[in-house]
Amino acid sequence: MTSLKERIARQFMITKAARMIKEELDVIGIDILKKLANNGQSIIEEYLSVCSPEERKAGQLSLKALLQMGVTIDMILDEVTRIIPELKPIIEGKPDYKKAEIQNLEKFLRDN
Amino acid sequence: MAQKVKNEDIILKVLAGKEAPVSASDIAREVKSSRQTVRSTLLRLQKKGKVGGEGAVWALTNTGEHVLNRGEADKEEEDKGEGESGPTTVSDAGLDEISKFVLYGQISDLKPNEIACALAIFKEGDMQSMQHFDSVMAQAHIPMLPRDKWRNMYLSYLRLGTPLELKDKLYPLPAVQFAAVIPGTEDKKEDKKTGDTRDYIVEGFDIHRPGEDLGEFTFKEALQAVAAKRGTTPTPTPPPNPQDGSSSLKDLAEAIRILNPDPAKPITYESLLGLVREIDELRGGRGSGGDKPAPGYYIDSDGNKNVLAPGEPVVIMHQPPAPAPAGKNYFFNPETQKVEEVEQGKPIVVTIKQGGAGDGQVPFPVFDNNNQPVFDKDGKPVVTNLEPMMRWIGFREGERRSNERHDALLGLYKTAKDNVGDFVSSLSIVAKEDREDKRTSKKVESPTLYRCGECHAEFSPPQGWSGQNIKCPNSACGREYTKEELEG
Repeated sequence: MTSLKERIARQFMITKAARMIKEELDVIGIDILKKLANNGQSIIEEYLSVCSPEERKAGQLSLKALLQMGVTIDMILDEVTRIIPELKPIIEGKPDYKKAEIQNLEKFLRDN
Repeated sequence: MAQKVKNEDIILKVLAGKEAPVSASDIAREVKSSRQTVRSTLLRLQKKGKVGGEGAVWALTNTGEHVLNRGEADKEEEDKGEGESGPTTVSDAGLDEISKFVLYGQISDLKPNEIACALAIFKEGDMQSMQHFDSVMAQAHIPMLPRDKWRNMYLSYLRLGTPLELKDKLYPLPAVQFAAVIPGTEDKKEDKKTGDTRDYIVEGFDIHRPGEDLGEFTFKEALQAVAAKRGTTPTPTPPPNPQDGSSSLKDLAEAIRILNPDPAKPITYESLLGLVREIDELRGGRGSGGDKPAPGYYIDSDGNKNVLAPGEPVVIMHQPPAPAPAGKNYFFNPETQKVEEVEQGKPIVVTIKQGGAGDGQVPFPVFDNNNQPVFDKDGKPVVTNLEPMMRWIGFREGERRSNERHDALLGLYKTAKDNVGDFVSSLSIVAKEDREDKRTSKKVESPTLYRCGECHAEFSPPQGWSGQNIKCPNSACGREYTKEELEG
């Protein structure tokens, strides 16, 4: 059983990560995200394709740090859908799409 | 200007062709011009007396008809005014503003280039405005005397073409200027105008007027007589005319003629010298060379004021300073912290210690570029006091630390400010989850644990246990317990 302090710290990191993702998604636009999801294209792949190597490296480090704190990708996605309700039908309505996106993220974490 | 004249001609022709008075709008429509232009032209023609009207409708006057009927010959004359040569005589001058302007300039004895210069500026503005005329005169630097003549003639010309009721309003006559008034004699202004009649007598230094032609002097002569009596400068006269250089000589001759003791005889050089001497005596015996020199004074060493005789020299002698009286001087000795007395004339020696290990001083040997200690001429090592530098370094380090602390605090504050919202939301989420966990944990009762009395192995009853016998899970023991045994 984790302590209350650890749980608060973990939740804080989840909230921060979700907020940063929201800022990025706001720049892209919900309509484009919907189009990508409807076409079956991966949002994460599209996003990572426009990132610089430095940005990709920084993203990897942040995600690994979150995983070490016990924050899973599922938790972050749940928080993102909580603060962006428009994303809920995209992520929750297509379980295969969500699973594929999580696998894309895990693949990104494993990349050197 | 040519355009204005053409506009006037066109409008005069239009009005000549009408049997009844017409409005400015009708004329504007006919000549294909704006109503405002036509109205201003009509007003200008009205001033010249060529058209008449009552504001709404306009008609040609007899003068206008006459001007219109003069034919091409007159027109050519008017057009000539645009050139810079202008008319040569009064008779061949045109009636327009430019011709009159040039003609009056010539009459005022101005040079052709001055007239041409003024004309060039004059054509650019309203030629029926005296303000514009004055501005042109100033810009062309026309001298005042011909300027006044020119102005008055041009003003009269403009007044001639103006209806009687508007003359004084549009072109007021200038105020009459009389001769300059001599200061202090304003009350005798009228008397001055009487001319050469001998109306005045002189008593002492006063001038009286017993009556017309009852005196002995004209006003000017009386003034000169008083001036001669007083020995002051002659009567102030109006500023001399630069074109009339003989005025001062004329005045001198007049004064000599008045002061001649025997008017029957011609004045000679000797009599002139006699007159000058007499005037000098009247002025208090002062020489003709100038004022008598003021007497000189000097102050002696006792502070007495003495008068210097004329020509007496003043000798300044340098005296050695007087010896100081015997006494004592006092000074504060920092070593003993006491006031000490020294006999006057003896030096006060103040010793300043340098490089010592005194209060707050940090002596440090001085090294040269080769890292060798530096010695003075007595062979002693030269030391320097590092204390001020160390204090400065300490101060600088303190400032740096203070700045870093300030920056860190600011960063911390910014971080806290940025994250406080997320932290609060995280806290609320965890607290909510915690509450829900507690609520659910109350519902699930924890399973009862039993311990075997023989092998001390722990076991719990299976789910949905309804009181049947339970066997010890330890296979080596295998003892079986009834419900009563377990609950007992």
